[in-house]
Amino acid sequence: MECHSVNPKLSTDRKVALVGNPNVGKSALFYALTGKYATISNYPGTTVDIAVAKMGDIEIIDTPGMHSLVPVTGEEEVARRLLEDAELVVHVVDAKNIKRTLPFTLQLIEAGFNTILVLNLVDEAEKLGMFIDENLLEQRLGVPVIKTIATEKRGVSRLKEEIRKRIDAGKDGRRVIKFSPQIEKVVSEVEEMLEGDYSISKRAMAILLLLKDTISLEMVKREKNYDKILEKVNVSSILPYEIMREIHENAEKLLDGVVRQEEVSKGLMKKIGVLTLNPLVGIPLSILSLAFIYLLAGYVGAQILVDLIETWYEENVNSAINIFLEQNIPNYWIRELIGGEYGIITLGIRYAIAIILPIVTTFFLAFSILEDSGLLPRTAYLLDGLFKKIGMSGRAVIPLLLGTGCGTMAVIVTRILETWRERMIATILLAVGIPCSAQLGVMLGVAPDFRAMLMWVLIVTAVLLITGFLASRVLPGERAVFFMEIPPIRIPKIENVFYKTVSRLEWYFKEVLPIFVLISVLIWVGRITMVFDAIVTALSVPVSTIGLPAEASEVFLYGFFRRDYGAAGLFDIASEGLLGYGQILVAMVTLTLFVPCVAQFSVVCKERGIGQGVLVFVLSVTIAFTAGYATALMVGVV
Amino acid sequence: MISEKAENSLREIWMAEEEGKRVDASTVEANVLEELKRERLVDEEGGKLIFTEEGKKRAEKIVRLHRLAERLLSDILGFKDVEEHACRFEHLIDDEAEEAICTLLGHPQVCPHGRAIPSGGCCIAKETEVERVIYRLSELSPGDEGEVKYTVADDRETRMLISAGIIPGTEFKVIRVYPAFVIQIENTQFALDKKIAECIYVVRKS
Repeated sequence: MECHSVNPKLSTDRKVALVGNPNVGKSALFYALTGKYATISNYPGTTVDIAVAKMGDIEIIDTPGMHSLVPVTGEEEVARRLLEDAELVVHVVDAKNIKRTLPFTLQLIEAGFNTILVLNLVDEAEKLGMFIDENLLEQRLGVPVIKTIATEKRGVSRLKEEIRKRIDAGKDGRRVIKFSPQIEKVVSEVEEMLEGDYSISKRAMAILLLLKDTISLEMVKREKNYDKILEKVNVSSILPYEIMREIHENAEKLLDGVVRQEEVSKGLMKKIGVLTLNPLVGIPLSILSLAFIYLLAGYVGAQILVDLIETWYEENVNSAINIFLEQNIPNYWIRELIGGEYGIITLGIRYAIAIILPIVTTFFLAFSILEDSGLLPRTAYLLDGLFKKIGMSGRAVIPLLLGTGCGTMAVIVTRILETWRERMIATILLAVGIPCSAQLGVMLGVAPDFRAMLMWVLIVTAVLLITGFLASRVLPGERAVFFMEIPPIRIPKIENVFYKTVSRLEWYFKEVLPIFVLISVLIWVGRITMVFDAIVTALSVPVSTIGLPAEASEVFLYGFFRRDYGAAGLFDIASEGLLGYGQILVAMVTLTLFVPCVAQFSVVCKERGIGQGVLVFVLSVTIAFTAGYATALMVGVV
Repeated sequence: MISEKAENSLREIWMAEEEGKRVDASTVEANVLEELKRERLVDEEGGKLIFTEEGKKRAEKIVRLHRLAERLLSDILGFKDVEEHACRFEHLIDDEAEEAICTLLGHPQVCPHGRAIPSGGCCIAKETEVERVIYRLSELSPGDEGEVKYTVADDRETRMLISAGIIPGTEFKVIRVYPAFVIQIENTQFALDKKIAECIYVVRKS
């Protein structure tokens, strides 16, 4: 992994990095500054997607959430590397948590970063009776301090002005942290031993080393005094928390007289916030939010909108294309590449626009609303006990829930999990059996009645729980730890929800549309070369073992290219009357558990390595047919 | 009773053994070495010192007192430089005081430097008349308020807690304990599982 160089594509402009904790309105501020939907870039060496957009000729980078300079999650590691490359760092904090976040600001300034401190969400702080004198704080820190309410664009123009003014100021050697003599001595001793050239000040490096920061330890490996430095760091009887405590004490002193606290009655939202943590209230609320997602994505999206758009597309685009091809292209195979049953336009683009677009749009819309309301972390909290049983912390609810929208995106989001083991278990579950929204929609259509639907849900859930349970026993690694900030309950702002949905959709299409076209081409090549026939014949063995007709084999193969392809194919053969009641159930279960789609598979390989990707693949096939066979036995199909 | 110097030697041999090392007999003052041998606390083996059964027991006790003293000085009395004071303090603690201190501190398992404190009889029984001052966060109830005194966790968890600002001196209020813990620090709420809550040692405020 390259240590600290930003993608050359991004590097010509001057860069501003937004850093800060999760849930402080960083994304809203990003949008307010750039007025654009983020273009998502991939950070080299890792696969974290970073939002980048222009503010005039300045590039604004929205880094993943970060609590301190010492990273804990993979996301935070990337954030740390990104900010080391920026000309200017804008530290966005939740104004009401200034006391807890100022130590990080101090570390940033101490590290030599050209810093601006933004106190966001000042309205929430003032509602709590907290008033901050930003001018006094600015004087004491020596860096600009700006109050904003990003969602209402308040304070944003001042921030823009300040960014333009400060961007070329460069790094300075300002020191804001004063340690006690004992710590100061060790810090300066370590500092003096460092000879290399770092993107942060040597003093900050020394502090990070004493905080046992793994990235910094890695960076000083090249030092010729490495052994001595390591010994000094390890032998010093100073504990990381003692250093942090002194940094916190510094912050407290700086804030003395800056923050004025007035008594206020407890807000209604706060009371609701606490109430939702009670399982008696929270669990029904979580179920309601699931129902809300289903209503929007599963019903409005997958049924009403898909019907409308699909019918329109088939009647207008498909028929027009096919008539045009018939008249102008004599060659059958070229006609088939573009039109026909599996052509790029008649199948690839149609699937993307008519089926996927409405479903993921409505799903992302519902998900963004839940995300902004602060309900997701509460669901994570409530489900932590259950998730521990399958080796993950409650946090995993976020990628798994997102997986019911798009498994590919969800695999990337597993990054918010802290350990390799948790990420692996989540990846396996996503690949094995979390149905994506497209698949869910079609399953709802295929299910002959409510009883079959219910059985499908029960069987798939059981398989998921068993898989998770076994995976957590087999996979090595540290136990899952649940530790999470619970943001206040907020009423989502329409503009922000819209912004989030659009940027997710943009990412989705960039990633998915090319794959759709590619799949059409692959199917085309497969049909010409007869490779598909060979695979379909091979697949018909397990398929007939679980009591399904040979026609279903094709469904499974296409299911790999897009899960919903398979599901839609199932829909076709079911409506042709080829399957009995029991067979439909068997097919639904097996297809849901069958391999992830090709997009998800490629992301798994990218995120976890090819070896583990293949492992997940084989595991899915095995589990799918085993569970399918068991279901077939249960309903008497075989 | 053996001399303070002999006691300190026993502690040094114990600490060397913790790191898998042995102490050279030549590094110990002659009269101290003689005292240790006379009391049948150590044997010499190829120039290195090893404990006798009795010596090991005595050393364990001394180390326990030393580390309890460190905890007491740093957590309750707020000393910053505990090592030196603890060296003198440990010799003054008798059995009764030892139990009282250990209980007061909530039967701590490690010293401020992260080394294990050998457990005593009171840690196993966990009951005595002394009122406790230090609790684990996991033992508190909703509505309790407290101050973090120290944490005992692995590196990853420690970094996690430090990043979130949960360090000695942080004041908090317990909001919920089920299904997992929720505490409020300033204006932020954190959810944490029982295992993490067990790692955080706190003083309860009434």
